[in-house]
Amino acid sequence: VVELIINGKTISAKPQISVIQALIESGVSDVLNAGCLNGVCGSCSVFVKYAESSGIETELGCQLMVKEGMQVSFVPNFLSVSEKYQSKPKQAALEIPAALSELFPQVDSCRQCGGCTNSCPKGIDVEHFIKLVIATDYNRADELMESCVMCDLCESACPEKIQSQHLGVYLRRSLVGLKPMPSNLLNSINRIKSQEINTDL
Amino acid sequence: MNNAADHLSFDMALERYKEVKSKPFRINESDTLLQDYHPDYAADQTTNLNIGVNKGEHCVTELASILQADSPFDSKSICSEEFVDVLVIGGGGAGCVAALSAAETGSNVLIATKLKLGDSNTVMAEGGIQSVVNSEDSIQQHFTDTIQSSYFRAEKEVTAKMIQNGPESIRWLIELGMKFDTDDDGNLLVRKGGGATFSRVVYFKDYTGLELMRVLRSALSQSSISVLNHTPVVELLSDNGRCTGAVLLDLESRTLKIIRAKSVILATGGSGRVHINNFPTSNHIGATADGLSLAYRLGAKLRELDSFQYHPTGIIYPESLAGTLVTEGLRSAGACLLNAQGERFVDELKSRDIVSAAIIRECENGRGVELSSTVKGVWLDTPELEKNKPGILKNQFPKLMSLAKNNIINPTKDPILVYPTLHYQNGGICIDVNGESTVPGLYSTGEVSGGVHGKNRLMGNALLEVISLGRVTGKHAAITAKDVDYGEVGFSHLDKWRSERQQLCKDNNEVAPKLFPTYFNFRY
Repeated sequence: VVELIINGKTISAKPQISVIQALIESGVSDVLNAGCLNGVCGSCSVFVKYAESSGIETELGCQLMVKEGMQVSFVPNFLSVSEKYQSKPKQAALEIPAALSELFPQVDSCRQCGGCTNSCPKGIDVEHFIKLVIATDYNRADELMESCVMCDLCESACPEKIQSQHLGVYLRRSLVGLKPMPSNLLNSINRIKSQEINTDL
Repeated sequence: MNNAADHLSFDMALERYKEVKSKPFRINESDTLLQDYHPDYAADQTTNLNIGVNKGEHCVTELASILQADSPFDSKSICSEEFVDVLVIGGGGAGCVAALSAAETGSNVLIATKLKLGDSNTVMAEGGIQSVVNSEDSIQQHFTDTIQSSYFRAEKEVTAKMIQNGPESIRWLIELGMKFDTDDDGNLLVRKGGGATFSRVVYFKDYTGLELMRVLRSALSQSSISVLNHTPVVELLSDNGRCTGAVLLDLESRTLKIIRAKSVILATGGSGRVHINNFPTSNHIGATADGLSLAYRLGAKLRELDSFQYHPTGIIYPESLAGTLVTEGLRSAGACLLNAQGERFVDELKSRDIVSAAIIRECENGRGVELSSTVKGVWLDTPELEKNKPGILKNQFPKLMSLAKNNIINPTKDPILVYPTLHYQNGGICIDVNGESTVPGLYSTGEVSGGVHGKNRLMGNALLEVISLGRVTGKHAAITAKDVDYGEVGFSHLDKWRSERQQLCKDNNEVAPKLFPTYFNFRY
């Protein structure tokens, strides 16, 4: 049995289970912090301090295994939203730099403090993402953010309130808009216009 | 054949796996595999419904008790009232697609969701979306594959519409800015799903659902659609047999709110967290059959209430990952399933019900890897796949590999121990080609609806249903809303329901929608 503290309560848990499983099994489940339990919905962010270290780290509660003496606190998810960009990304895509500075003006104020990178529970180097954006290396920037689960921790860790998570989605939508529609898909759409399904098998 | 006492423990089986150099192939698919081993076919798991439209029909026991439950609604505590054209209940993929499509017609749309927008089964979907893109393929073949895999139980007209609109719906997603994996010429790449004749599952790594959900959320935040998070529906409203809105519960303030709507779309998802047959589940925490109980009380007909999909490859070790899915994409790419002796025992790309039944057969006949007397599994051979196609795990399956980051598992070095996990509700609310249920004004889309999967769903057809029928349903609900007035705030369906319950369901003390699994100790 492992003893740990979750949201201020001491809990005994089986080894090899996740923090959120331990919370549920202890009977004090927090309905607003549980989501997919699969590491992709971003609802169960936690602060964690291990017995042997003094620093505080951020993780997803469903991906974090219980450990003796660990202290865990769940973080509420307020669902941050970005500035509205009324036009479809496709129309804005040709002017990505201008659109970016209009929609995400905080990017230019990045202090390179590393807060975003340290806070990311998916291990994304968010600060490097911002550097790549500033250097207009958009394709590499986009790839870095592919595993982002929109937990909003990077935004809350940033002294300039850069919305890296929304910037990542905006950038990807814009880059997709810049590319031509896949030709095998367009051919398929044209082909099936004249096809009917015979439902009588 | 070995007997149960010969089960190998995890460590012994891992040792054995590493010793066996060439994997023998012992394919053994008898005609009675499903009858003998698939949980759907176990005779003691179903009961007959006593009340409601489906009275007398088979239903799995756990679901029957929810469908025949009482409503938590008590009219004394209503705080406020609001009017919208279209109310969408549920904030997963289907709800968001339907809401966006309804709003495209200029309607005033509200999404009410129990968790927060995007917490859903959609966000976890890994494999992809099944839709015809290549020239050797045809919508007729996609239709035939789907109907055959459904054991001829799928609703043909609705299925045909879903498949016909597939490619156009993929284009709609790309126009919204969703990224798919493409070749150097920009053509969509495709995977082959089990039970499909051709490769036609389009995808974005093993993040298809995550990318879909991020784009839908972003598009929603740019639209005029309002969203209420942490606000489940606890009862529907009726006026002369028509659905006229819903009663919402704000989970934070614990107050009730009435939403009066001209069209209501149920997109509440599935029921994995009911843990049918005590199976672990791949589903998110809110998958508790809420929409089914709401619709059933209002008089909507349901179907295939005895059919569920057990996904073959749910992780069982370590326990922290119990129920977590490993995508069929791995088997599609060539990963094999091996029993504790290191033998292959099934064609890994048969449809999911057959592969799951074969895994259960191995485990019940002494050829499983034993974790404890009750927990057994088989290997998914990821190291061999990596050996044959170096780099494939990192490049195509980053979600799986992120589990290696926390040293939870190491798929490049060790095989993954898996067992079938409760994954999908094959049946649900009966719908017509416009997504409308048998109750006027009440629509349903996504996993909560039934009809396009029959008794077994193909990989990629769930996300196809979400986008293809989600769009149809949202649009049609909005068009209907333009021609009707707001109805009365009525509960006559509930009075009738309660008196029927009193007569025919005396022993049922349940209250539904459950909203959360029983181990959450949620109280109204």
